[in-house]
Amino acid sequence: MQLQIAEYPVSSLEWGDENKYNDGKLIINKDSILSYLKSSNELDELIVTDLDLILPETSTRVINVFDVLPAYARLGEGVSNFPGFLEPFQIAGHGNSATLSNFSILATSSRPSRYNKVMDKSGLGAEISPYGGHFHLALQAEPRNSDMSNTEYYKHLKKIGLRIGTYLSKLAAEVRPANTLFYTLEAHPSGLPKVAYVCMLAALQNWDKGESILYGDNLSGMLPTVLHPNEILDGAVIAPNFNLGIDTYSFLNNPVIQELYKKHGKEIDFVGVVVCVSHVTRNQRERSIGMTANLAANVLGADLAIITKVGGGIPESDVMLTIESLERIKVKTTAIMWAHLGNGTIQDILTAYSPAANALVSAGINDALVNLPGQEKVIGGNEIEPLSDDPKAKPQNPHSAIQVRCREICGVINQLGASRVALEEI
Amino acid sequence: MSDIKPFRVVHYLNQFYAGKGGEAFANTSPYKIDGSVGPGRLLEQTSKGKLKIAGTVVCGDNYFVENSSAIKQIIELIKSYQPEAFIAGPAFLAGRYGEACVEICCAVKERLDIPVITGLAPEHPAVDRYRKDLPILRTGTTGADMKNSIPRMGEILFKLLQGIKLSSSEQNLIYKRGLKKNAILEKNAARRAVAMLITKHRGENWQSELPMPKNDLVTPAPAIKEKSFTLALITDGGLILKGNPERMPSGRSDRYCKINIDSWEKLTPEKVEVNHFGYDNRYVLADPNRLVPLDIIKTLEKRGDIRLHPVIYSTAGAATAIENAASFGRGIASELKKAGVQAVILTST
Repeated sequence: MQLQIAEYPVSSLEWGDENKYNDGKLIINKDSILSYLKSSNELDELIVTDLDLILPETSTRVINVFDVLPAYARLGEGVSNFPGFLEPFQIAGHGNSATLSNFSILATSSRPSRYNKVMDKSGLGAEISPYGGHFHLALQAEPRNSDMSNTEYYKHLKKIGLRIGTYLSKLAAEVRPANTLFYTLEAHPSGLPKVAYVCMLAALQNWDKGESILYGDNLSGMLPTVLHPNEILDGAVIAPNFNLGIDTYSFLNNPVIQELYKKHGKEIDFVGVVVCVSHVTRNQRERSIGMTANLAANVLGADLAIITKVGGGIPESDVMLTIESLERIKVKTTAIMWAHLGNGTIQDILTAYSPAANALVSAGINDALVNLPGQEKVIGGNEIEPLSDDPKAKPQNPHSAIQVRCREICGVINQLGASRVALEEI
Repeated sequence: MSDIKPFRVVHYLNQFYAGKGGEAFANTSPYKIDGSVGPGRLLEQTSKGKLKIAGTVVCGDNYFVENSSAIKQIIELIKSYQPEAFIAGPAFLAGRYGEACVEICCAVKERLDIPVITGLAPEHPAVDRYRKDLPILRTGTTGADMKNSIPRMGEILFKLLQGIKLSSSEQNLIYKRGLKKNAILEKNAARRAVAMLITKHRGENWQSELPMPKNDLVTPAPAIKEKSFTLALITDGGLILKGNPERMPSGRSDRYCKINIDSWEKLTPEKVEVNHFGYDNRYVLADPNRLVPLDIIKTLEKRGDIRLHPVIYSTAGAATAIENAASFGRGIASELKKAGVQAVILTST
């Protein structure tokens, strides 16, 4: 399996009469995007109410962000984009693709949720987010039928965002790329430690059976399985709707897979990805954790494993048990874990612990409060819904200075490891 | 530095380090000596004129622990020197001495509002309880480390007095306060995780970014196979004798109490009540047997299935420090072992 991704960095973004990408300069024609969406039947259920271009280093705040999506397209005859979800199923991970780098699509939601996020383009919020320097296209869309369930709404929102991304990437792919990334695991070198990546895709304690996560599957009752890392890079996985500390962009640009590839053949032998979910019942959890450890150790033959999770609570406990299971069969582990503010002390950081978890890397304190300065331009709504758990909390004026938890800023807390924010003991 | 007037410091020592004597003198009541003694001399010498020990205050280890008025007497003695800073110990791994050092430092900080410092070994139980409130130097476990510790304490105390920021190596000599915040690191978490994994594989040193709490791992005792055995009842649900004669706190417990139930058939609201701030006590007050099942156990005892230990041990588990809970456990366990108890039902709330 060989995947070649052509990268097209974006350094300027504007509306224009034509669609054009040249040397970092992206010009988009709004009407042609809308007619493309219409012809792809993406507008049957939703109406696009606004499309905005968002530039870095401007006093801009995008609010009610539901998901951050990549501009990514698989290229060639007969290929499916986001197979099983946007287009018909086929195995992803092989062939040629194109993506816009330094660019992402912000799908905003017209439905209030305390899990929606903000994206500031100036001040502290921009400084600490991996998306701070990105150019964005911000999408606003509403259901034609107001009775539409949230699950359906979110699904169509993601589809429109991804569809726009394929359109723009294919447009860029008409010119020679600035950079091409080549991903293959072939020619496993001997003598290097074998590393497996254990990637939790969803936490079923907070999940909807109408979701499409892996190749369009909702992962109900999922047993752990093995994927080639290229499948994830090439669009097999869409972030679940309960997406605290994750987003679809960071699944496709999975930072653990990218880093393991960088070391592959030099310091390590990257042998594959075990994907799993965090289940709810004891029997399901035991089975899933046991099978995950066995796939990593005895099917992939890993000496080492790196683990990431989604959600909190049960997934934290599952990671601890997975670490114990792997270390017991002599697979050394590290895991990326967010932390909770709790009582503010270093003793109170997680909901589950294990003495075997002696190599954890921090994805930051997810609920530490941060003050963001006011922004002149606001996209995505008129007010920021209360983000806190306090039932008495009032909506915040999005133009003024606001206080949010770190996880409520796009990308700042990233459970796949894309952010540089980390817990520090003082 | 010789042109600067040295800061006036008071030094606290126990009877041993003050040269009075060992355990035989542990009951010595507080007294003071003008100027420096023992380790204080080393502090003055190595501070090169920056610190001057105006006086040394001494108290016996047992006297301090056993007399609640000791701290007041000590503070008065310290105050008499009008110090600009205060240094206690270092006490290394010494239990009672270390407790005295941290408590006196807290009292001096609160009442005199001057910089303080003490020093303890990482294993000392007072470290975790006081590092939030005090600068405590990380020391070795015995007095052999005095030559390293005391000059460092002097240097850090001097910087605290001058309001100079500690260097990062000095910050590492002091126990972290045990709090947390978010920081921005150079590399993202994924890159750090892969690097840590490779380091771990190579058997080199690595440091987890999320420390695990240091809890004891207790292996469960094997199951009892005998037909009839001795059973004891324990609870952390705040069961007390009516009127709370043992003055058990309702949480953050510092003690456990014993309730003799030898002659009782069950628990009744006339004899017992509950003092515990961590749960809704109403149902237990109405029927205390639902906190500790004495009624059921007595039936089993009559049938000859078990023998019941005549004492219920109780504490209020709410927000109780782990060190306290561990010491209750050791105390109760040793009494149970002496009494030949083979099994325990511990009901928790």
